Amino acid sequence: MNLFILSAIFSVICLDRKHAFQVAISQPLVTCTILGFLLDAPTEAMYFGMIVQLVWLSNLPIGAAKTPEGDIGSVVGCILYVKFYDKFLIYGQFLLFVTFLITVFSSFLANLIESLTRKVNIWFYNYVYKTIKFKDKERVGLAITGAISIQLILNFVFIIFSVLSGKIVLENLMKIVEKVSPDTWQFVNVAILGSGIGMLSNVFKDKKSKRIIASLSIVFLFILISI
Amino acid sequence: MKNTILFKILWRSFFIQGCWNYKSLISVGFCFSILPVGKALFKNNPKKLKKFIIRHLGFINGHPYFLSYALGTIAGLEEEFNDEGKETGQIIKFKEAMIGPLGALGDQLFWMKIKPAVFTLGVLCFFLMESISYKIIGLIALLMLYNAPHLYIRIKGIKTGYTEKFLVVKHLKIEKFNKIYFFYTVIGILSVSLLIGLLTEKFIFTNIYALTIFFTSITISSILKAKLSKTYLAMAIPPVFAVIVGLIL
Repeated sequence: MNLFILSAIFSVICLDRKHAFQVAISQPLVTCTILGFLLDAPTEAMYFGMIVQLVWLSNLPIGAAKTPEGDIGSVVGCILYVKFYDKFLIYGQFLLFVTFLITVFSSFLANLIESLTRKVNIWFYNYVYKTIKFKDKERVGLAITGAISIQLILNFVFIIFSVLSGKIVLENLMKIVEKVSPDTWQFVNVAILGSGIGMLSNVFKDKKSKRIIASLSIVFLFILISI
Repeated sequence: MKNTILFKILWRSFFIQGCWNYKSLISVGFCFSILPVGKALFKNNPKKLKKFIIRHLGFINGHPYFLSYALGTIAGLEEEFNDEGKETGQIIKFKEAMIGPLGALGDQLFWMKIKPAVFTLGVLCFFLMESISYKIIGLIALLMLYNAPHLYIRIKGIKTGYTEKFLVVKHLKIEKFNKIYFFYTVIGILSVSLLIGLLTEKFIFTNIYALTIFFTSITISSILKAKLSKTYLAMAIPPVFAVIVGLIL
């Protein structure tokens, strides 16, 4: 499927993160599943979504806090992972490593763009306020539509730009990856999952929850070993 | 007030963060959501409608789902104060007083409990199920599991706020959501524990290096995130560490 169409679809879906609806369809598990079906590679895409999902759950958008934009970052990473999956073959874990780092970097860049849109939205606020105060005209709906439209366009441009940049990086890396043994990358998926679980300690902060998780993990381990 | 107005408020509340800005935070979205009330009450009085809009462009912030309580309350109060010809200063003071509880409740319940619990369960389901069809069914079930309390809060918030008005504060306590809180805490803890147990069992007899890296990654990211607040490093360092170990081995 054409990158422009993909970007158009996911620039709308990624609005769900904050700007519209917020029904959690922008979470990596969901977006990667949709991507997988659109790119005719559901297994690979769902695998990527499963691996990266946990790392974003501990980022809490409390108050005015800015958090990594993991949803749009995961879309970028997943597109690259699926597109290059057949080209890297036995270096699949290397591909996962690079696309994961691209996902993290994309989330960082998208976070910077979020700061920019928050400042641009001040203009919309001032416009609405001054229009009603001095011109007696209500423009609230227009402001909301304008702000969401700008975010949509930024999402669209961001996905295209990031995927094309990631494509250049991966195509160059393809030339040199064979110089390193595939076993070098064998633990990448385990590390990412571990990272996600470790970051959840920011959510299960209290000692009681941590003790319960540790105890239950051991109980489940013994049950699984004995089965 | 007609149910159609309350429904319009509910629909518009889904865009309440559409124009988040550093000056007034969520106020443009809030005003957009409450606007049907103003248009219904002051349709023949442009001056009062203007004052209504300016009133509700004031600074406000809160959890997007729990702001429904504020929206319902304001709808009820504006209607009552308009019918009785009262001054609206009290409405604004009450709205400002609600900012704290609305934010704290929502953050505690949704961002810290429901969302992590549901999507950790999702990862666990994806890990356990091999069939794509089952994964799709699981995903749909997860979205329902997340959105059931989400939509419940939105709808209940508007209705309760509208009927209770100033008395809505007695509903804005975490104790009122204890059942939901407990349910999702149990899901979250069970999901994380089972995931750790499954991954440990997978490696314990086959690949001791993978097991070591798994627990080292948990430790590194936990310290970097929870203790040092280094989010990006917490994400990036464990896989880099895994690659270094892979190179050495």
